[in-house]
Amino acid sequence: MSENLWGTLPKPDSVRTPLFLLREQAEILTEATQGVLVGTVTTIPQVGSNLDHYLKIIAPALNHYSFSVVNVSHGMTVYPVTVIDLAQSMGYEVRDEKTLKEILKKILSSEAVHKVVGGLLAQSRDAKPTKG
Amino acid sequence: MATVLFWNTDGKSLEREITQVCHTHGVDILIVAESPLEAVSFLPVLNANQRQIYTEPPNPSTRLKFFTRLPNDAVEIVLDEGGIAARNIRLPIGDPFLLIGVHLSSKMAYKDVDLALLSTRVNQLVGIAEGKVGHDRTVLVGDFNMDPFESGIVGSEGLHAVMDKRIARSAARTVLGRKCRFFYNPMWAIMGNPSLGPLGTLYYPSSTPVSYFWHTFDQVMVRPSLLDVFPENQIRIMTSINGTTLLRPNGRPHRRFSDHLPLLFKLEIEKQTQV
Repeated sequence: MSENLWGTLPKPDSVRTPLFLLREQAEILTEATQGVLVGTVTTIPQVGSNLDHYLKIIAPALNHYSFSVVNVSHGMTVYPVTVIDLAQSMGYEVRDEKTLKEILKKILSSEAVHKVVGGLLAQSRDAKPTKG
Repeated sequence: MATVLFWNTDGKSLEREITQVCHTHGVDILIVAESPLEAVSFLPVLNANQRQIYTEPPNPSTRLKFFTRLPNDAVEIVLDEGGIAARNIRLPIGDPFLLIGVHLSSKMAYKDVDLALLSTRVNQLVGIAEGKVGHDRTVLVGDFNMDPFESGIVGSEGLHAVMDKRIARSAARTVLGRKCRFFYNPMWAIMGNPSLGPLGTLYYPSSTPVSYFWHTFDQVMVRPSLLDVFPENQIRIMTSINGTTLLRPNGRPHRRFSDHLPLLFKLEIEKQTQV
């Protein structure tokens, strides 16, 4: 039998990627607003091996108007990641998952994002159906 | 974010090309001039396989057509006269802004002095529209049939659109006792700059002694109140659409499409949401 020169490889379930965390928060938003707002994550491959993830809030009742809340970009090693708070144009360099969660919490629970969510919820409630 | 596309299509429908730009660049508001597009045939093409549906808001303008994928009631008519169409745009997030589409008469029919005089009327209409909506978060976009340096564009009685953002930020200057407000015109930096794409939006080689060859008749300009949400590096004079070039091999606009090139810009209007 061939000798394993890889050592003990990390298990995929022990690494929670930024994409996983963003999707989790997207689902939480959708559930919390009972689908009035839908959280989605869009990934755009960049030059080289970088990936750019956008967490967006979609308002289906407002002709699927979308508002990008946060942008997380990283290379193939995942960390460090660059996080941009799109509502307030502030950037962060993050070295691990714990800090990423703290920064995401700071952004998603900010007054700026809550104001956006509140505005979209109120307008979705009052929206007339979109004409085709 | 609001993404706006303006294109004088020279009487051609260009359904396929416009649809591709709208989808590729996420255009929220499309303004076309000299366009035969009819909503009944164009919207099914534009909306095919799209979740965000484009509509044609009510439009009294005879020289400009608007299409949008913004929610219902986001586009409010403010005034229409001649080639001026003012719309108050309310995005779900961010302060409203006044979008004024402009299509002034061709230099084929109007002399430079006619267009300069007509600019004073545009200036008056902009003021009336701003008074109606109660703010001056105003964007002018369209085919002015004047270059950025012509008196109708830069003159205080015309659009008073300056090349220097710092001067524009001073809001106004007094000319013969009257306070004249500024627009900022970023097209100065794009005009004649090969590193930013084509040298203008239209190529017309005149046989008269003075010929500029390239013209930047298609322009976007903003009031100082929008400067912080107007990313200049996002202004594009488009030369290709999904790999199809709009230019001939010599780099000039291909008349198979239009003699004008499309102009794309963005407003990060949500940044003006008060927290």
